[in-house]
Amino acid sequence: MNRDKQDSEIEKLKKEILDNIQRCWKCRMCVAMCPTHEGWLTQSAAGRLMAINAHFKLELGSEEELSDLLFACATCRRCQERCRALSTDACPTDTILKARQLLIKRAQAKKEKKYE
Amino acid sequence: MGDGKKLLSDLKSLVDKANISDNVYERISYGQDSANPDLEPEKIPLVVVKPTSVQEVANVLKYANEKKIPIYVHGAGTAFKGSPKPKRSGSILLSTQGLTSIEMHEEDLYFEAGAGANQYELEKLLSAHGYMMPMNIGSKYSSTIGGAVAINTIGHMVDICLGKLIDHVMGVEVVLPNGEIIETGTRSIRRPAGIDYTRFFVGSEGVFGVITKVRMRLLPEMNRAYVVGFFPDLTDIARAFMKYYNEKLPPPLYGELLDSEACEAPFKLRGLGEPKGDMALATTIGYTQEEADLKAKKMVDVFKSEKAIDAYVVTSPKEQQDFWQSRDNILNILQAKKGGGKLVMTGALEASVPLSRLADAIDYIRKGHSFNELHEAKLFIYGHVGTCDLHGMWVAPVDWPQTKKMQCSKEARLLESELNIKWGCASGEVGQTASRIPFLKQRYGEAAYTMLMNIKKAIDPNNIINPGNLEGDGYE
Amino acid sequence: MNKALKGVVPDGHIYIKGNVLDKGNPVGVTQDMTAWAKELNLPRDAEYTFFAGCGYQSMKYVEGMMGTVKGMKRVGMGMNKLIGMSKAFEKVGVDLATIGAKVAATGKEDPYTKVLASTVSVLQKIGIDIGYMYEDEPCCGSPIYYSGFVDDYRKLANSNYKLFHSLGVKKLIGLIPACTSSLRDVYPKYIEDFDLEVKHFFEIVAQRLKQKNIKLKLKEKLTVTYHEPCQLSRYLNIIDEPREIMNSIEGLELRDPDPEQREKWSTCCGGGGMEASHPELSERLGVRRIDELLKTEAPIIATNCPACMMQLSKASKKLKANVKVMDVIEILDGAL
Repeated sequence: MNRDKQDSEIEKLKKEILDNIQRCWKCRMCVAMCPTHEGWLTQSAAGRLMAINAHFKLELGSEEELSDLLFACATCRRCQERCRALSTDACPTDTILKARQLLIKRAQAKKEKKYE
Repeated sequence: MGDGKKLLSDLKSLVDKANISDNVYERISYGQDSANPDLEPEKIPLVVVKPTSVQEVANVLKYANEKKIPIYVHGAGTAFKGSPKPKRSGSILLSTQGLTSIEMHEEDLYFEAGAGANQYELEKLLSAHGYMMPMNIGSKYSSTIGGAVAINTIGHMVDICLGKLIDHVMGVEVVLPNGEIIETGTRSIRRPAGIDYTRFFVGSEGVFGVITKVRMRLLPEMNRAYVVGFFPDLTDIARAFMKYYNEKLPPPLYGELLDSEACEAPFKLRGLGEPKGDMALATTIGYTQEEADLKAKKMVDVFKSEKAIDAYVVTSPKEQQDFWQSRDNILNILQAKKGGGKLVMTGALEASVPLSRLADAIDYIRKGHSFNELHEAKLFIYGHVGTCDLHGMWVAPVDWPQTKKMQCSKEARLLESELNIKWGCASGEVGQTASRIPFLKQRYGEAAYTMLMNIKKAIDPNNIINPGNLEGDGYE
Repeated sequence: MNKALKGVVPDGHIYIKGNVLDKGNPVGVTQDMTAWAKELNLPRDAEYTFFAGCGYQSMKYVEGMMGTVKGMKRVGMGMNKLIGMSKAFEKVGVDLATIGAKVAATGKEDPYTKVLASTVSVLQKIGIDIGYMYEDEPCCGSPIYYSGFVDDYRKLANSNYKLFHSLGVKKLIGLIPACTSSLRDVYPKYIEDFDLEVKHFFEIVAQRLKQKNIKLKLKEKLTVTYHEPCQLSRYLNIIDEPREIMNSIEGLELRDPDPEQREKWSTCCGGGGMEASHPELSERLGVRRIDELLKTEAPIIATNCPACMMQLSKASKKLKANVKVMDVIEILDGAL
């Protein structure tokens, strides 16, 4: 794929994700709904969204740690349903899926750059 | 700036290691709250602990006090005026959500709950036994009873109907900053007159100690009746409630308002069509259904005499639930599609006013000020008109530059402060520390503030619990 | 390319992607899985095409593989260990799936393909003529979409679309919720001028039952609780139809879990992808969901998704619970 096109797709996806995360109010209503929640905030949509934001906007935390978090999500959409009913409809599940896409696109672009 | 590794290994001898996390994303999640956008990386807590016993809490506090390590205490971290977020670097984030025990003592008319018990779970349990919670706040699905007691808030409820939360608290278990555990209050429904240590901690916003358990009276469920009214203008709603009280009628359990534009998105979500005007809701209570119904009828009469386009007693449970949730799930407003683009909240106001000033206050929020960014953003007014507590929410497109959003947020705080000071009041729902310290100083004066800081120094000489909150760090 | 993804995407997901793209199903089975439909002699061409999906067809291979490996005294086998072993076997030229299939074949009847047979039976009984693509049916690709391989997914979706057109497929009836939501809702986002009509089995059946006023009656009374798969309730938004159908079956008592754990709030059982990266977590989710369903004290747990069926069966066996996990469609078939 054309290098510039690839980079611009990555930037576009990143902006889409980060803009959407601003709509998360951290009200934490999603936490009790998450089937993976076992007492810690990262086991919820709120925590996962904050992690995605911290990683891509503030460059905190490693790819491996973020990936582990994101793939521990069951993508069941219970949080998304809850956010729509009680809060701002920030579409957390869709955002987590997009973040998975961004991780992959970025890794693939990095690999291709290595061979230039 | 402390050493994270040493801290982690020390804590493992004080708290079960299953209750500790030093994962970077965990620390970031607990280090953020709704009031502020992104966090400052150097202020991310070094470690998160979730003790599951009061002894573990005491161990952590004793240790932190000796090593002079700041501790920030969370219930669910949902307070949105700035208090949950760490203000100093190198901190321990202590979450009370591991303290979730609930014990009923019906023979003595009280229950005891760990500070981390979820408000909504507690409400469901009490309801199953025929009791009601003495509070109801929009965040109850996430928030803890410990947090509510620390702020002394009852959310939507009308203070003069059943009393503020402190009136229902018979005692607390607290861990002091030096790690000592104390128990306060009584097991009798007659609480101590005079000095009752309970009062030092209820409403202390977590600066004097960590509340680990609360004892609260059991409040039997009452019969309820529901009223809805649609008005040409919010000021008509204000005048309706002013009239209701001036006629010496008994306070309702809830008196809420929501402006018609704010109604649109939540109404659409629930298939309620277009709102007929600005909406007022009221819930009256009584020992008998007749009593509740009588109060409701009086409310309808008052509404109609104050220009209500439509006002009636709501008898369909689904209709009542839909109206209530439209008001309760206030964040639904941010789903509105008007004005194109996605919306974010840029400013929030919560102010309590004297009864006679309810209508004036609404005008003041709308046009009595000269803050430019507030006038540029879109304003929604909602709130607990029945307890004279108004909310303003300013929303703007997500694309506004960050500096503009911050300016809007600051202006909302300044306006809130102005409004509270104008007629000699203070916000009645969400506390006075962190972002509200400038208000606190201005409203009650330097002498009172110095007294507060001296008390803090006496109880917490190393200033380890929530440091920065009483100082108003970040909100100069 | 896979090396670049190490640490970014879990090994299990990379393995599944390889299987989907190279072998046409997430499990990596290379044999013909359509034996269940051989004697049904379904036409390849009809107004509606039945999309069976990989799930029910490959489940016995998954269980067979797990059984084979367990038999080698490696207890507590999670999907990731299974994947590791699969790869190891491949290196020495042994196809674990084939061995697994042989093991599975010697066992009892496959409960998963039974569901497919019941589905066809129901559709025929209510007068809907369906065709089936047999070995031409492709993998919809939904596992790789959820893993985040959106570019590979786009390619696969478009090539599937060409295939559907070339086979004259116009209307699809989907069964597996994840496949159906992928075909119905995600394909149009990645395929220009998408013109296939995709409906889920329940949409068609609920409509037809009402239209023709077909009576449903069980030979023996059954007490059942229903577990909504996440993909059915929250992605496809099909909530009323299965309950309407079940409530209209004479002799069926439907017991519901807590209102905050059913319909659009149905708690996830942990199936559908997580087993490939977080197997212990996935198991805990299954156990938690079974606990919720057991509270209804219904002896039968009905659902309609192969992943849910496997997860809930596994969890109920782990808890030694006295419940049977089965598909709603089998119950429906018995009522017609």
